[in-house]
Amino acid sequence: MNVISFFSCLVLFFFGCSKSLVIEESIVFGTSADYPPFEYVEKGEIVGFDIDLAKEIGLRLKKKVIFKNIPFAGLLGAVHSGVIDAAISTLTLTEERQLSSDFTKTYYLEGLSLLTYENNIKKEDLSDSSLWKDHKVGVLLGSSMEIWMKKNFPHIQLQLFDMATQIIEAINSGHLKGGILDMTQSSIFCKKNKNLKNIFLGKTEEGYAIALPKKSKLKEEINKILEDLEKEKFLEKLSKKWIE
Amino acid sequence: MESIIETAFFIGKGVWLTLSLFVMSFILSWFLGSIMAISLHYKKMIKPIKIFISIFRGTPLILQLSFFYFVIPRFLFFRPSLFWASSFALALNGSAYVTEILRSGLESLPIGQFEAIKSLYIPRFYAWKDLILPQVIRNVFPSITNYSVALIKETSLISILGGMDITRLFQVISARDFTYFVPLCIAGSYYYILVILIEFFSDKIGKKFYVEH
Repeated sequence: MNVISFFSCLVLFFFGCSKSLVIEESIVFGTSADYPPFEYVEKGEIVGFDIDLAKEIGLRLKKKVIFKNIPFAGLLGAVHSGVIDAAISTLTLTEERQLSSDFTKTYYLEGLSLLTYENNIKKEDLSDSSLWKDHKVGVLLGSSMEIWMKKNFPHIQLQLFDMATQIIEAINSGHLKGGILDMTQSSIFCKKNKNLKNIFLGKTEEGYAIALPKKSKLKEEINKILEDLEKEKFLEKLSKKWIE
Repeated sequence: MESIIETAFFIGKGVWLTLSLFVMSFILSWFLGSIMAISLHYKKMIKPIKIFISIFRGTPLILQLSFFYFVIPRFLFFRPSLFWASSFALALNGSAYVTEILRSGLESLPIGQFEAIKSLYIPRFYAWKDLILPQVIRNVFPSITNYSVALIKETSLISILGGMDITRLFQVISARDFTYFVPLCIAGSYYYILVILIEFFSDKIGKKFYVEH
């Protein structure tokens, strides 16, 4: 008898929990808050470009927005399993990624720049394959920079790192001829390392998008909101606020 | 199913780097470790060896790898490649452990063995080659297997520096397709197969050293 009452208590406890977690009118966004200025933790709160955008989307969906801080690698897994309703964490949209989950329209196109210690390198030199024969270029694994380089300059050998600071170290110790980073980060690193030069390369073709579970009903609603936000120049305001 | 096979092939390309890094650092660490253990036995250079062991056993391997890859090239006239920098870091780190393993093996030998060698005037080289080392290796054989299994998994740390080993290729495919668990399982099974191979060979070799008591 005791066992039965114990288990029924347990069952009640868990069902009670799951009921209280899922409030009807809320949307849970997952984000990996380690990438300023898009999402990072300041004074115990997650803030950034993506966070403001997600809040605005929540406002227009008339839902309460809840954020969950999940490591980047586990983010898409959390979308599949339904722990979160959507992931907004500078996720670059590619065809291969669209196979496993749904993505909304892109909301931001990243600017790319080449960091190098050599003074006489120009943007056009990237397409000269003889120049890069014995040299590697550092990029962040899974970033829009990696995808862009593989598409546009497949002759350049890439070395994949996890952190931008490692790329800077590898350039400084002479292992790499250069590194491709996004504009925001590279300009900060250039200020700190005076010997490095920052060369603007252009904008990526693939931008950042919000990831949703397959066949999510939210996709069209969010797409419409993103279109409206672009028309109202809300996205421009956000990038002025956070990036420039 | 097709995508799983493709993933397995993709990650499998890293086996070569993992294995060659393991073999290289294993040989180097045993070479350095046995020199240090013998030198400790003859009570020579005790202080420097103790400091070396203390530093390399006391700091994280990832720090040593980064140091050899990022910092050392600034003081050298040449740049060791990622493979050589990481095999040296792994070898130096491993040699600290190997020295201690061998020391425990040497100390477990009865003192009579050394006295017998002395009284029979057996030359030092032959004494070590034919008498002491075979007994030491028999004593420490389980620790050798233990250390090799740990080492092959430690090689996965070079993935952080961008070396394309099993772990890195798993991370690449997981970032490309945004899938996590299946590639992780595949990478894990590659490591497990390698470990099983090591265990198999160590069993085979271990039987040669086995003496019935």
